[in-house]
Amino acid sequence: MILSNISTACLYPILVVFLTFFYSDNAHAEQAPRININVYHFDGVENDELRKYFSQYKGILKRRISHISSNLSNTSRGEEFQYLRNLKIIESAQEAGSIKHREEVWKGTNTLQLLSGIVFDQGDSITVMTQVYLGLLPEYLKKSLIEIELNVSPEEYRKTRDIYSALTLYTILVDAMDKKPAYIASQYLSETKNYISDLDQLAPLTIELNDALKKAEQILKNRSSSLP
Amino acid sequence: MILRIISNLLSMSFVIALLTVSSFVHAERDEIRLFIPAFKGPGNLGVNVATILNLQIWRTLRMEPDKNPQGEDFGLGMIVWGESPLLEDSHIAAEKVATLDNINSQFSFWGETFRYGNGVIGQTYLSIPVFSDHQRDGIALDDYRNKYNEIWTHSIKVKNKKIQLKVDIPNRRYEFSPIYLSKSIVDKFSLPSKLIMYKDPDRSSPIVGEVGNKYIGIEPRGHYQKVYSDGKRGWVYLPQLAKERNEVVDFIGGLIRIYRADWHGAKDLMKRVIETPSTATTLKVDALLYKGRCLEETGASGEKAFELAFKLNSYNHNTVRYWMMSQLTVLFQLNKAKIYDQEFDNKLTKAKMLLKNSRFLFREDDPWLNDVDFILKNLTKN
Repeated sequence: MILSNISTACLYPILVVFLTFFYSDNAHAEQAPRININVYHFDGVENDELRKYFSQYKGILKRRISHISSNLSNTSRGEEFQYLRNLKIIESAQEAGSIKHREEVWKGTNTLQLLSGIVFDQGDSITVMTQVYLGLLPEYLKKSLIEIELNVSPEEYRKTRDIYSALTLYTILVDAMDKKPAYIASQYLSETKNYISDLDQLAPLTIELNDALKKAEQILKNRSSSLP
Repeated sequence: MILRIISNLLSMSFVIALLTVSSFVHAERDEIRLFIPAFKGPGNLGVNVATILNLQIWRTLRMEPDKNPQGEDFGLGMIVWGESPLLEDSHIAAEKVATLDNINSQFSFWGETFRYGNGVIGQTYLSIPVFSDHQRDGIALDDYRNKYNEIWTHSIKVKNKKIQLKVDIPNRRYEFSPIYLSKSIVDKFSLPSKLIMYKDPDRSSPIVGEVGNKYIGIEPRGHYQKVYSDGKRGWVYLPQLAKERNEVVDFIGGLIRIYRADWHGAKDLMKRVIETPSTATTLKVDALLYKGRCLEETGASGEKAFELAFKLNSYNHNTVRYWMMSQLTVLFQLNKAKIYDQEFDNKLTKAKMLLKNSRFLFREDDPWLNDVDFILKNLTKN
């Protein structure tokens, strides 16, 4: 909140400190799996009522991440999946900054996504528009910055099959494709497919994700068949 | 019907409703148990919702088929009822409690409740522990069963090599879609102590008392449930419970039936899960796999169910395993009868294609995959 009124120039030293923290925390960021979801400053959180709703929004996010983490790190899947028990949301009051800055944070840390956005009070409902920065992961998606709209309501809270969760699973899949054996990535492929199947199949992002999964499948198949 | 109370375990007391009067006499028989702690929630809400689901699931348990000319016996099925919620909301905690010696349950069904509008939402979870993953005093735990019906096993000898192919259940952790319960239902069926017992399965018959906190389910009949409580026997009217049936109850009921080798009964419940519009794809795929397995166990082909599961999610390695087991069932039968006709060739080709296209879903050193590879290479007339 305080930082929202500070100019970008003034912000720079603070961001460097913030980045340094992430860099020092992740010396082997290139090889380490991405398990952090950074939630940055959201605009529009201007009174106690909206702060309450924003807190509920973060509650929804945490619930979804917790569900994904619990499901994927199921012990029966094996030891190799246990790293996802550490999948977590890291909150920060900092501004997300420019795309270039987000890219730097993404490259230098084991961040899976960077979230920022704005909270709208629409009278009868509260909507949160979230910008999900996926870094360089979406080599199969058209954009690295995706906007998702979410109503802060009990109905939204109940959902476990939603586009944000599907997108998160997809980013876990793409991250694993470079760092994990094909059979691990393929389990994320399967879970993402399950989630997407329960969404509106005509929504543009769903179509894009379905296409992306087919490309991921082909890459994994090629990798598997090229083995001696 | 026997009531057993395990007191003060983790600050909880448990009521176990057994499905048979002779459970302790036949101690050598396998017992399949479902542990249901009270759900978390404001006031009595968690207890209320867990009670309703407890009774709904309980009604799916059966010792034998409705018509039983062959004298089948599905062994013991029971629900272990906890009056307090889990100390921690997690699959890990639920699995740990389920494996405790005096709970010893193959399933842990837990959840939370919260108010929404005029109704109540129940968010439920099912945890299915692998007992051998848990240890006590350095020794891996065991649930003391002789038979593990849920594991699909094929035994075959190919080229003088004895092979036992085993496929485990597809998932061990579930988060179900939220359940909507109207306020009137929750208020009416709050605690078992508020349920009225009638002399006969008829609400106009004399009242014999109220069901206490400790109760034994005896016999379901239509919308009524015969129970024994506080030294009295009577019939409890539960119409709304049947009305509020959802895929959670059918799925868990079906799973318990699979563990007890009640294949026809399990197939019926899984079919209902598949046909419920609100069932999520993850659950639908698993229900199809279970339905296919049940069909195979009763001598029918489960191939259509497996094919449908594969269409829903071709990236699921469990679907491939189940479908392959079905293909192998036919191949083994033909091989045993030394019938190497067109059907044999077609099945073999289909199985090889399935494996080739799905190989990337498996570890290279997956023992099951390597055994199937060996079988498909050597299962020929030559």
